[in-house]
Amino acid sequence: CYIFQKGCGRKDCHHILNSSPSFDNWNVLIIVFTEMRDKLRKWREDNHRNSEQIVDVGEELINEHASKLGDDIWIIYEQVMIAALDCSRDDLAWTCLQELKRQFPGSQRVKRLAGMRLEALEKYEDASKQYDSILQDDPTNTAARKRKISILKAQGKSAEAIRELNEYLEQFVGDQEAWHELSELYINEHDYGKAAFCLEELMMTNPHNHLYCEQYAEVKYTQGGLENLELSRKYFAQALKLNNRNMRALFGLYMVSSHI
Amino acid sequence: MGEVELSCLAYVKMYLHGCLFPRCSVNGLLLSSSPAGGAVCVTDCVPLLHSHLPLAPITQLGLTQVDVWCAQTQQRIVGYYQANACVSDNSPTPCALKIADKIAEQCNNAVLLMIDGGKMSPDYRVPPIVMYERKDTRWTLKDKHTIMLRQWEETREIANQLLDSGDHSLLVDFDSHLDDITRDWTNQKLNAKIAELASPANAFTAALPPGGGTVSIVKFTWISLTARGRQQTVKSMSINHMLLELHRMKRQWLRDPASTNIEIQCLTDMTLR
Repeated sequence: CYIFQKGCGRKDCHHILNSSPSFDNWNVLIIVFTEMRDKLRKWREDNHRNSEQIVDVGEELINEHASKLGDDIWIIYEQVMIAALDCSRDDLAWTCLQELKRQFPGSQRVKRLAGMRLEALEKYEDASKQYDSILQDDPTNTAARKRKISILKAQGKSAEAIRELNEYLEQFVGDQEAWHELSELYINEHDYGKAAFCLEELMMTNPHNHLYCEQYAEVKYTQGGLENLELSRKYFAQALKLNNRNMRALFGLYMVSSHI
Repeated sequence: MGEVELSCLAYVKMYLHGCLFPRCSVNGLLLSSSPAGGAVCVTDCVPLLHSHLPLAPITQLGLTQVDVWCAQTQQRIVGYYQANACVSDNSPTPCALKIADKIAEQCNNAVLLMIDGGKMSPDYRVPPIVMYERKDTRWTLKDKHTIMLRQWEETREIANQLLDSGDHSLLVDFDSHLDDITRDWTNQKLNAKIAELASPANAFTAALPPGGGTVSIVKFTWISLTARGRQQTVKSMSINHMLLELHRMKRQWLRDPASTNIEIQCLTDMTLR
Protein backbone atom coordinates (compact mmCIF):
# COMPACT_ATOMS: atom_id res chain seq x y z
CA CYS A 1 0.00 0.00 0.00
CA TYR A 2 1.54 3.27 -1.01
CA ILE A 3 -1.03 5.47 0.62
CA PHE A 4 -0.23 5.80 4.27
CA GLN A 5 -3.55 7.21 5.30
CA LYS A 6 -6.43 5.94 7.30
CA GLY A 7 -9.42 5.37 5.12
CA CYS A 8 -7.44 4.03 2.22
CA GLY A 9 -9.88 1.74 0.48
CA ARG A 10 -7.47 -0.93 -0.77
CA LYS A 11 -8.49 -4.31 0.52
CA ASP A 12 -5.05 -5.57 1.44
CA CYS A 13 -4.34 -2.55 3.57
CA HIS A 14 -6.63 -2.98 6.52
CA HIS A 15 -4.04 -4.47 8.78
CA ILE A 16 -2.06 -1.28 8.91
CA LEU A 17 -5.12 0.91 9.10
CA ASN A 18 -6.56 -0.84 12.11
CA SER A 19 -3.59 0.02 14.25
CA SER A 20 -2.56 3.58 14.38
CA PRO A 21 1.16 3.80 14.56
CA SER A 22 3.07 6.80 13.37
CA PHE A 23 3.99 7.25 9.73
CA ASP A 24 7.45 5.79 10.27
CA ASN A 25 6.04 2.63 11.77
CA TRP A 26 3.86 2.08 8.76
CA ASN A 27 6.87 2.44 6.51
CA VAL A 28 8.84 -0.06 8.52
CA LEU A 29 5.95 -2.52 8.68
CA ILE A 30 5.61 -2.62 4.93
CA ILE A 31 9.33 -2.88 4.33
CA VAL A 32 9.64 -5.69 6.82
CA PHE A 33 6.77 -7.55 5.24
CA THR A 34 8.06 -7.31 1.67
CA GLU A 35 11.55 -8.27 2.80
CA MET A 36 10.24 -11.39 4.47
CA ARG A 37 8.18 -12.37 1.48
CA ASP A 38 11.09 -11.83 -0.90
CA LYS A 39 13.44 -13.80 1.30
CA LEU A 40 11.04 -16.73 1.28
CA ARG A 41 10.73 -16.49 -2.47
CA LYS A 42 14.52 -16.49 -2.90
CA TRP A 43 14.91 -19.53 -0.64
CA ARG A 44 12.14 -21.27 -2.56
CA GLU A 45 13.75 -20.62 -5.92
CA ASP A 46 17.22 -21.62 -4.75
CA ASN A 47 15.82 -24.71 -3.04
CA HIS A 48 17.63 -23.93 0.21
CA ARG A 49 17.13 -26.28 3.09
CA ASN A 50 17.49 -23.64 5.82
CA SER A 51 14.38 -24.91 7.53
CA GLU A 52 14.83 -23.13 10.87
CA GLN A 53 14.99 -19.76 9.15
CA ILE A 54 12.07 -20.53 6.88
CA VAL A 55 9.97 -21.51 9.88
CA ASP A 56 10.92 -18.31 11.74
CA VAL A 57 10.16 -15.97 8.87
CA GLY A 58 7.26 -17.95 7.44
CA GLU A 59 5.45 -18.40 10.73
CA GLU A 60 5.50 -14.70 11.41
CA LEU A 61 4.41 -13.93 7.86
CA ILE A 62 1.48 -16.31 8.09
CA ASN A 63 0.37 -15.18 11.52
CA GLU A 64 0.76 -11.44 11.10
CA HIS A 65 0.49 -10.64 7.43
CA ALA A 66 -1.70 -13.32 5.91
CA SER A 67 -4.13 -10.91 4.33
CA LYS A 68 -1.42 -8.97 2.50
CA LEU A 69 -0.03 -11.98 0.73
CA GLY A 70 -2.82 -12.64 -1.71
CA ASP A 71 -2.45 -15.79 -3.72
CA ASP A 72 1.18 -16.17 -2.71
CA ILE A 73 -0.03 -17.51 0.58
CA TRP A 74 -0.71 -21.01 -0.69
CA ILE A 75 2.78 -21.63 -1.96
CA ILE A 76 4.13 -20.11 1.22
CA TYR A 77 1.98 -22.50 3.24
CA GLU A 78 3.53 -25.38 1.32
CA GLN A 79 7.06 -24.08 1.81
CA VAL A 80 6.58 -23.41 5.51
CA MET A 81 4.91 -26.77 6.04
CA ILE A 82 7.84 -28.68 4.58
CA ALA A 83 10.28 -26.60 6.65
CA ALA A 84 8.17 -27.18 9.77
CA LEU A 85 8.31 -30.95 9.21
CA ASP A 86 12.08 -30.64 8.93
CA CYS A 87 12.21 -28.90 12.32
CA SER A 88 9.75 -31.24 14.07
CA ARG A 89 7.16 -28.46 14.35
CA ASP A 90 4.14 -30.66 13.84
CA ASP A 91 1.78 -27.99 15.20
CA LEU A 92 2.74 -25.53 12.49
CA ALA A 93 2.77 -28.24 9.80
CA TRP A 94 -0.74 -29.32 10.78
CA THR A 95 -2.16 -25.77 10.54
CA CYS A 96 -0.57 -25.26 7.12
CA LEU A 97 -1.90 -28.60 5.93
CA GLN A 98 -5.42 -27.80 7.13
CA GLU A 99 -5.43 -24.48 5.28
CA LEU A 100 -4.20 -26.12 2.11
CA LYS A 101 -6.71 -28.97 2.40
CA ARG A 102 -9.52 -26.47 2.79
CA GLN A 103 -8.47 -24.50 -0.26
CA PHE A 104 -7.51 -27.39 -2.53
CA PRO A 105 -9.59 -30.43 -1.57
CA GLY A 106 -8.65 -33.59 -3.43
CA SER A 107 -5.41 -32.17 -4.79
CA GLN A 108 -2.55 -34.62 -5.46
CA ARG A 109 -0.02 -32.06 -4.35
CA VAL A 110 -1.73 -31.64 -0.98
CA LYS A 111 -2.03 -35.42 -0.62
CA ARG A 112 1.71 -35.66 -1.07
CA LEU A 113 2.19 -33.10 1.70
CA ALA A 114 -0.07 -35.14 3.97
CA GLY A 115 2.08 -38.15 3.16
CA MET A 116 5.23 -36.21 4.03
CA ARG A 117 3.73 -35.35 7.39
CA LEU A 118 3.09 -39.03 8.07
CA GLU A 119 6.70 -39.74 7.13
CA ALA A 120 7.88 -37.12 9.57
CA LEU A 121 5.87 -38.84 12.30
CA GLU A 122 7.59 -42.08 11.26
CA LYS A 123 4.26 -43.65 10.25
CA TYR A 124 5.86 -45.15 7.18
CA GLU A 125 3.09 -47.68 6.44
CA ASP A 126 0.42 -45.00 6.37
CA ALA A 127 2.60 -42.69 4.31
CA SER A 128 3.25 -45.46 1.82
CA LYS A 129 -0.48 -46.09 1.49
CA GLN A 130 -1.04 -42.40 0.88
CA TYR A 131 1.50 -42.35 -1.94
CA ASP A 132 0.06 -45.56 -3.39
CA SER A 133 -3.35 -43.93 -3.59
CA ILE A 134 -1.82 -40.98 -5.48
CA LEU A 135 -0.12 -43.38 -7.88
CA GLN A 136 -3.37 -45.26 -8.47
CA ASP A 137 -5.02 -42.09 -9.69
CA ASP A 138 -1.95 -40.92 -11.56
CA PRO A 139 0.73 -43.51 -12.30
CA THR A 140 3.08 -40.90 -13.75
CA ASN A 141 3.28 -38.87 -10.54
CA THR A 142 7.02 -38.62 -10.00
CA ALA A 143 6.78 -36.90 -6.61
CA ALA A 144 4.94 -39.81 -4.99
CA ARG A 145 7.39 -42.35 -6.39
CA LYS A 146 10.34 -40.38 -5.10
CA ARG A 147 8.77 -40.09 -1.65
CA LYS A 148 8.34 -43.87 -1.55
CA ILE A 149 12.04 -44.25 -2.29
CA SER A 150 12.80 -41.75 0.48
CA ILE A 151 10.83 -43.90 2.90
CA LEU A 152 13.05 -46.86 2.03
CA LYS A 153 16.12 -44.71 2.57
CA ALA A 154 14.84 -43.47 5.94
CA GLN A 155 14.24 -47.04 7.06
CA GLY A 156 17.82 -47.92 6.17
CA LYS A 157 16.80 -50.28 3.36
CA SER A 158 19.42 -48.94 0.96
CA ALA A 159 19.53 -51.98 -1.34
CA GLU A 160 15.80 -51.73 -1.99
CA ALA A 161 16.00 -47.97 -2.36
CA ILE A 162 18.72 -48.40 -4.98
CA ARG A 163 16.65 -50.96 -6.86
CA GLU A 164 13.52 -48.80 -6.85
CA LEU A 165 15.48 -45.74 -7.89
CA ASN A 166 17.03 -47.63 -10.80
CA GLU A 167 13.56 -48.66 -11.96
CA TYR A 168 12.39 -45.08 -11.65
CA LEU A 169 15.32 -43.82 -13.71
CA GLU A 170 14.62 -46.32 -16.49
CA GLN A 171 11.33 -44.51 -16.97
CA PHE A 172 12.37 -40.94 -16.19
CA VAL A 173 15.88 -40.78 -17.59
CA GLY A 174 16.14 -37.01 -17.41
CA ASP A 175 15.62 -36.56 -13.68
CA GLN A 176 18.86 -34.94 -12.50
CA GLU A 177 17.93 -34.96 -8.85
CA ALA A 178 17.32 -38.70 -9.00
CA TRP A 179 20.64 -39.43 -10.68
CA HIS A 180 22.43 -37.44 -8.00
CA GLU A 181 20.55 -39.23 -5.24
CA LEU A 182 21.44 -42.57 -6.79
CA SER A 183 25.11 -41.64 -6.94
CA GLU A 184 25.00 -40.76 -3.22
CA LEU A 185 23.35 -44.08 -2.39
CA TYR A 186 26.01 -45.96 -4.34
CA ILE A 187 28.81 -44.01 -2.64
CA ASN A 188 27.41 -44.93 0.78
CA GLU A 189 27.34 -48.56 -0.31
CA HIS A 190 30.96 -48.22 -1.48
CA ASP A 191 29.94 -49.20 -5.01
CA TYR A 192 32.16 -46.60 -6.67
CA GLY A 193 31.87 -47.97 -10.21
CA LYS A 194 28.14 -47.46 -10.35
CA ALA A 195 28.39 -44.11 -8.58
CA ALA A 196 30.80 -43.02 -11.29
CA PHE A 197 28.28 -44.09 -13.92
CA CYS A 198 25.58 -41.91 -12.36
CA LEU A 199 27.91 -38.94 -12.22
CA GLU A 200 28.84 -39.52 -15.87
CA GLU A 201 25.15 -39.21 -16.77
CA LEU A 202 25.00 -35.95 -14.83
CA MET A 203 28.13 -34.59 -16.48
CA MET A 204 26.77 -35.38 -19.94
CA THR A 205 23.67 -33.30 -19.35
CA ASN A 206 25.45 -30.60 -17.35
CA PRO A 207 28.88 -30.18 -18.89
CA HIS A 208 29.45 -26.82 -17.23
CA ASN A 209 28.78 -27.90 -13.65
CA HIS A 210 32.11 -27.97 -11.84
CA LEU A 211 30.67 -29.79 -8.83
CA TYR A 212 29.78 -32.90 -10.81
CA CYS A 213 33.27 -32.99 -12.38
CA GLU A 214 34.87 -32.68 -8.99
CA GLN A 215 32.68 -35.38 -7.40
CA TYR A 216 33.41 -37.71 -10.31
CA ALA A 217 37.11 -37.11 -9.86
CA GLU A 218 36.81 -37.89 -6.13
CA VAL A 219 35.03 -41.17 -6.86
CA LYS A 220 37.67 -42.14 -9.42
CA TYR A 221 40.42 -41.30 -6.93
CA THR A 222 38.76 -43.48 -4.31
CA GLN A 223 38.51 -46.37 -6.75
CA GLY A 224 42.28 -46.29 -7.19
CA GLY A 225 44.43 -47.88 -9.86
CA LEU A 226 46.51 -46.01 -12.42
CA GLU A 227 43.76 -45.58 -15.04
CA ASN A 228 41.30 -44.24 -12.51
CA LEU A 229 43.86 -41.87 -11.03
CA GLU A 230 44.63 -40.46 -14.47
CA LEU A 231 40.93 -39.93 -15.15
CA SER A 232 40.64 -38.37 -11.73
CA ARG A 233 43.41 -35.90 -12.52
CA LYS A 234 41.71 -34.97 -15.79
CA TYR A 235 38.43 -34.26 -14.09
CA PHE A 236 39.92 -32.32 -11.19
CA ALA A 237 41.62 -30.18 -13.80
CA GLN A 238 38.34 -29.78 -15.69
CA ALA A 239 36.54 -28.74 -12.53
CA LEU A 240 39.22 -26.12 -11.89
CA LYS A 241 38.90 -24.88 -15.42
CA LEU A 242 35.17 -24.41 -14.91
CA ASN A 243 35.61 -22.77 -11.52
CA ASN A 244 39.09 -21.85 -10.42
CA ARG A 245 37.97 -21.26 -6.86
CA ASN A 246 36.93 -24.84 -6.20
CA MET A 247 39.29 -25.71 -3.33
CA ARG A 248 38.43 -29.39 -3.34
CA ALA A 249 39.39 -29.64 -7.00
CA LEU A 250 42.62 -27.77 -6.32
CA PHE A 251 43.65 -29.96 -3.42
CA GLY A 252 42.46 -33.05 -5.28
CA LEU A 253 44.56 -32.20 -8.30
CA TYR A 254 47.59 -31.76 -6.12
CA MET A 255 47.04 -35.03 -4.28
CA VAL A 256 46.34 -37.15 -7.32
CA SER A 257 49.33 -35.71 -9.14
CA SER A 258 51.60 -36.63 -6.28
CA HIS A 259 50.26 -40.19 -6.44
CA ILE A 260 50.86 -40.73 -10.13
CA MET B 1 42.51 -52.43 27.60
CA GLY B 2 43.36 -48.97 28.80
CA GLU B 3 41.16 -46.31 30.24
CA VAL B 4 39.86 -43.50 28.11
CA GLU B 5 38.90 -40.09 29.36
CA LEU B 6 36.85 -37.75 27.24
CA SER B 7 37.21 -34.06 27.99
CA CYS B 8 34.40 -31.54 28.03
CA LEU B 9 35.81 -29.68 25.03
CA ALA B 10 35.99 -32.76 22.84
CA TYR B 11 32.50 -33.94 23.77
CA VAL B 12 30.86 -30.55 23.29
CA LYS B 13 32.42 -30.03 19.86
CA MET B 14 31.42 -33.51 18.71
CA TYR B 15 27.88 -32.96 19.95
CA LEU B 16 27.61 -29.57 18.27
CA HIS B 17 29.00 -31.00 15.04
CA GLY B 18 26.22 -33.59 15.03
CA CYS B 19 23.64 -30.90 15.82
CA LEU B 20 24.89 -28.54 13.15
CA PHE B 21 24.34 -31.10 10.40
CA PRO B 22 21.36 -33.13 11.60
CA ARG B 23 20.60 -34.51 8.16
CA CYS B 24 24.06 -35.78 7.25
CA SER B 25 26.56 -38.27 8.56
CA VAL B 26 29.41 -36.41 10.21
CA ASN B 27 32.85 -37.52 11.27
CA GLY B 28 35.97 -36.16 12.84
CA LEU B 29 39.19 -36.92 14.65
CA LEU B 30 39.91 -37.16 18.35
CA LEU B 31 43.11 -35.59 19.62
CA SER B 32 45.10 -35.84 22.79
CA SER B 33 47.69 -33.49 24.19
CA SER B 34 48.96 -35.88 26.83
CA PRO B 35 52.02 -38.05 26.11
CA ALA B 36 51.67 -41.60 24.84
CA GLY B 37 51.43 -44.46 27.31
CA GLY B 38 48.97 -45.00 30.11
CA ALA B 39 45.39 -43.84 29.91
CA VAL B 40 44.22 -42.11 26.77
CA CYS B 41 42.93 -38.65 27.49
CA VAL B 42 41.00 -37.12 24.62
CA THR B 43 41.42 -33.38 25.05
CA ASP B 44 40.19 -32.02 21.75
CA CYS B 45 38.54 -33.02 18.54
CA VAL B 46 38.57 -31.79 14.95
CA PRO B 47 35.31 -32.09 13.03
CA LEU B 48 36.06 -33.25 9.50
CA LEU B 49 33.31 -33.94 7.02
CA HIS B 50 29.59 -33.78 6.68
CA SER B 51 29.25 -35.02 3.10
CA HIS B 52 30.58 -37.96 1.09
CA LEU B 53 32.32 -39.55 4.03
CA PRO B 54 33.48 -42.66 2.13
CA LEU B 55 35.33 -40.66 -0.54
CA ALA B 56 39.08 -40.71 -0.15
CA PRO B 57 40.70 -37.47 -1.30
CA ILE B 58 39.26 -35.03 1.23
CA THR B 59 39.56 -37.51 4.08
CA GLN B 60 43.25 -38.04 3.29
CA LEU B 61 43.72 -34.31 2.98
CA GLY B 62 42.07 -33.75 6.33
CA LEU B 63 44.13 -36.41 8.05
CA THR B 64 47.34 -34.94 6.63
CA GLN B 65 46.54 -31.39 7.65
CA VAL B 66 45.45 -32.39 11.14
CA ASP B 67 48.62 -34.46 11.49
CA VAL B 68 50.78 -31.49 10.62
CA TRP B 69 48.86 -29.22 12.99
CA CYS B 70 49.17 -31.77 15.78
CA ALA B 71 52.90 -32.00 15.31
CA GLN B 72 53.09 -28.23 15.68
CA THR B 73 50.91 -28.10 18.78
CA GLN B 74 52.20 -31.19 20.59
CA GLN B 75 49.04 -33.20 20.16
CA ARG B 76 48.45 -36.58 18.61
CA ILE B 77 45.53 -38.19 16.82
CA VAL B 78 44.14 -40.85 19.11
CA GLY B 79 40.77 -41.64 17.67
CA TYR B 80 37.93 -41.10 15.25
CA TYR B 81 34.27 -40.31 15.77
CA GLN B 82 31.28 -40.59 13.52
CA ALA B 83 27.58 -39.90 13.75
CA ASN B 84 25.37 -41.59 11.17
CA ALA B 85 22.59 -39.74 9.39
CA CYS B 86 20.20 -42.60 10.08
CA VAL B 87 19.33 -42.18 13.75
CA SER B 88 18.36 -45.78 14.30
CA ASP B 89 21.68 -47.17 13.11
CA ASN B 90 24.80 -46.39 15.08
CA SER B 91 27.10 -49.21 14.05
CA PRO B 92 30.45 -48.30 12.50
CA THR B 93 30.40 -48.15 8.71
CA PRO B 94 33.17 -49.71 6.61
CA CYS B 95 34.75 -46.31 6.00
CA ALA B 96 34.77 -45.63 9.75
CA LEU B 97 36.59 -48.90 10.32
CA LYS B 98 39.08 -48.13 7.57
CA ILE B 99 39.97 -44.72 8.95
CA ALA B 100 40.13 -46.05 12.50
CA ASP B 101 42.51 -48.80 11.32
CA LYS B 102 44.77 -46.19 9.78
CA ILE B 103 44.81 -44.24 13.03
CA ALA B 104 45.50 -47.38 15.03
CA GLU B 105 48.63 -47.96 12.95
CA GLN B 106 50.11 -44.82 14.43
CA CYS B 107 48.60 -44.95 17.89
CA ASN B 108 48.26 -48.13 19.91
CA ASN B 109 45.26 -47.27 22.05
CA ALA B 110 43.19 -45.68 19.32
CA VAL B 111 39.46 -45.45 19.93
CA LEU B 112 36.53 -45.46 17.58
CA LEU B 113 33.57 -43.52 18.84
CA MET B 114 30.08 -43.68 17.39
CA ILE B 115 27.57 -41.06 18.49
CA ASP B 116 24.13 -42.48 19.12
CA GLY B 117 21.77 -40.00 17.51
CA GLY B 118 18.70 -41.46 19.15
CA LYS B 119 19.99 -40.55 22.59
CA MET B 120 21.01 -36.99 21.91
CA SER B 121 18.16 -35.31 23.79
CA PRO B 122 19.01 -32.38 26.11
CA ASP B 123 18.40 -34.19 29.39
CA TYR B 124 19.67 -37.68 28.68
CA ARG B 125 21.28 -39.23 31.71
CA VAL B 126 24.30 -40.82 30.06
CA PRO B 127 26.50 -39.59 27.23
CA PRO B 128 25.16 -40.79 23.88
CA ILE B 129 28.40 -42.40 22.79
CA VAL B 130 29.45 -45.93 22.00
CA MET B 131 33.16 -46.61 22.10
CA TYR B 132 35.12 -49.31 20.36
CA GLU B 133 38.69 -50.41 20.90
CA ARG B 134 40.95 -52.57 18.85
CA LYS B 135 41.47 -56.13 20.08
CA ASP B 136 43.71 -58.13 17.76
CA THR B 137 42.47 -56.97 14.38
CA ARG B 138 38.83 -56.34 15.13
CA TRP B 139 37.05 -53.44 16.70
CA THR B 140 35.07 -54.51 19.73
CA LEU B 141 32.88 -52.67 22.17
CA LYS B 142 34.78 -51.12 25.00
CA ASP B 143 33.83 -51.84 28.57
CA LYS B 144 31.72 -48.89 29.74
CA HIS B 145 33.55 -48.71 33.03
CA THR B 146 36.81 -47.80 31.37
CA ILE B 147 35.32 -44.70 29.78
CA MET B 148 35.38 -41.55 31.85
CA LEU B 149 33.67 -38.27 31.26
CA ARG B 150 34.26 -35.95 34.16
CA GLN B 151 31.39 -33.70 35.20
CA TRP B 152 28.90 -35.06 32.73
CA GLU B 153 26.05 -32.84 33.89
CA GLU B 154 28.03 -29.65 33.46
CA THR B 155 29.30 -30.78 30.06
CA ARG B 156 25.78 -31.51 28.94
CA GLU B 157 24.58 -28.13 30.15
CA ILE B 158 27.35 -26.34 28.28
CA ALA B 159 26.40 -28.18 25.10
CA ASN B 160 22.72 -27.34 25.57
CA GLN B 161 23.48 -23.72 26.24
CA LEU B 162 25.58 -23.32 23.12
CA LEU B 163 22.84 -25.01 21.13
CA ASP B 164 20.14 -22.73 22.56
CA SER B 165 22.09 -19.56 21.93
CA GLY B 166 22.79 -20.57 18.36
CA ASP B 167 26.55 -20.56 18.93
CA HIS B 168 26.82 -24.02 17.40
CA SER B 169 26.89 -22.30 14.01
CA LEU B 170 30.35 -21.02 14.99
CA LEU B 171 31.68 -24.56 14.62
CA VAL B 172 33.78 -24.99 11.48
CA ASP B 173 34.47 -28.43 10.14
CA PHE B 174 36.96 -29.29 7.41
CA ASP B 175 34.23 -29.40 4.76
CA SER B 176 33.11 -25.87 5.65
CA HIS B 177 36.74 -24.76 5.59
CA LEU B 178 37.02 -26.00 2.00
CA ASP B 179 33.86 -24.12 1.08
CA ASP B 180 35.29 -20.93 2.57
CA ILE B 181 39.01 -21.17 3.12
CA THR B 182 39.11 -18.25 5.54
CA ARG B 183 37.23 -20.19 8.20
CA ASP B 184 39.33 -21.77 10.92
CA TRP B 185 38.89 -25.54 11.28
CA THR B 186 40.81 -25.54 14.56
CA ASN B 187 37.86 -23.63 16.04
CA GLN B 188 39.88 -21.35 18.30
CA LYS B 189 36.95 -19.02 18.89
CA LEU B 190 34.58 -21.78 19.85
CA ASN B 191 37.25 -23.36 22.05
CA ALA B 192 37.56 -20.08 23.92
CA LYS B 193 33.79 -19.87 24.36
CA ILE B 194 33.59 -23.39 25.71
CA ALA B 195 36.51 -22.78 28.05
CA GLU B 196 34.76 -19.68 29.33
CA LEU B 197 31.61 -21.62 30.10
CA ALA B 198 33.49 -24.52 31.62
CA SER B 199 35.35 -22.49 34.18
CA PRO B 200 33.03 -21.52 36.99
CA ALA B 201 35.49 -18.87 38.12
CA ASN B 202 34.08 -16.61 35.46
CA ALA B 203 30.68 -16.66 37.00
CA PHE B 204 29.75 -15.61 40.48
CA THR B 205 32.26 -17.08 42.89
CA ALA B 206 30.94 -18.93 45.84
CA ALA B 207 33.48 -18.69 48.62
CA LEU B 208 33.68 -21.74 50.77
CA PRO B 209 34.90 -21.21 54.30
CA PRO B 210 38.33 -22.79 54.73
CA GLY B 211 38.38 -26.24 56.24
CA GLY B 212 34.83 -26.94 55.21
CA GLY B 213 31.65 -25.29 56.28
CA THR B 214 28.03 -25.07 55.49
CA VAL B 215 26.83 -24.19 52.07
CA SER B 216 23.24 -24.16 51.04
CA ILE B 217 22.24 -26.30 48.16
CA VAL B 218 20.21 -23.95 46.15
CA LYS B 219 17.27 -24.93 44.10
CA PHE B 220 16.21 -22.25 41.78
CA THR B 221 13.79 -21.86 39.02
CA TRP B 222 14.71 -19.49 36.28
CA ILE B 223 11.99 -18.42 34.01
CA SER B 224 13.18 -16.72 30.91
CA LEU B 225 11.12 -15.60 28.02
CA THR B 226 12.69 -16.41 24.72
CA ALA B 227 11.84 -14.48 21.61
CA ARG B 228 8.70 -16.51 21.08
CA GLY B 229 7.48 -16.20 24.65
CA ARG B 230 8.46 -19.72 25.60
CA GLN B 231 9.28 -20.33 29.23
CA GLN B 232 12.22 -22.35 30.39
CA THR B 233 12.46 -23.65 33.90
CA VAL B 234 15.79 -24.76 35.24
CA LYS B 235 16.32 -26.58 38.47
CA SER B 236 19.84 -27.19 39.63
CA MET B 237 21.35 -29.05 42.50
CA SER B 238 25.12 -29.17 42.33
CA ILE B 239 27.43 -26.24 42.98
CA ASN B 240 29.08 -26.38 39.59
CA HIS B 241 25.75 -26.59 37.88
CA MET B 242 24.46 -23.68 39.89
CA LEU B 243 27.43 -21.54 38.98
CA LEU B 244 26.99 -22.43 35.34
CA GLU B 245 23.35 -21.50 35.49
CA LEU B 246 24.10 -18.20 37.21
CA HIS B 247 26.59 -17.41 34.49
CA ARG B 248 24.02 -18.22 31.89
CA MET B 249 21.39 -16.10 33.59
CA LYS B 250 23.83 -13.22 33.78
CA ARG B 251 24.42 -13.41 30.06
CA GLN B 252 20.74 -13.57 29.32
CA TRP B 253 20.06 -10.69 31.68
CA LEU B 254 22.79 -8.60 30.08
CA ARG B 255 21.32 -9.33 26.71
CA ASP B 256 17.77 -8.49 27.58
CA PRO B 257 16.93 -7.44 31.16
CA ALA B 258 13.21 -7.33 30.51
CA SER B 259 12.95 -10.96 29.63
CA THR B 260 14.49 -12.60 32.64
CA ASN B 261 12.82 -13.25 35.95
CA ILE B 262 14.92 -14.98 38.52
CA GLU B 263 13.52 -16.74 41.51
CA ILE B 264 15.86 -18.40 43.99
CA GLN B 265 14.85 -20.74 46.76
CA CYS B 266 17.21 -22.19 49.29
CA LEU B 267 16.44 -25.79 49.98
CA THR B 268 18.64 -27.55 52.46
CA ASP B 269 21.95 -27.00 54.15
CA MET B 270 24.74 -29.42 53.50
CA THR B 271 28.17 -29.53 54.99
CA LEU B 272 31.03 -29.62 52.53
CA ARG B 273 34.57 -30.44 53.44
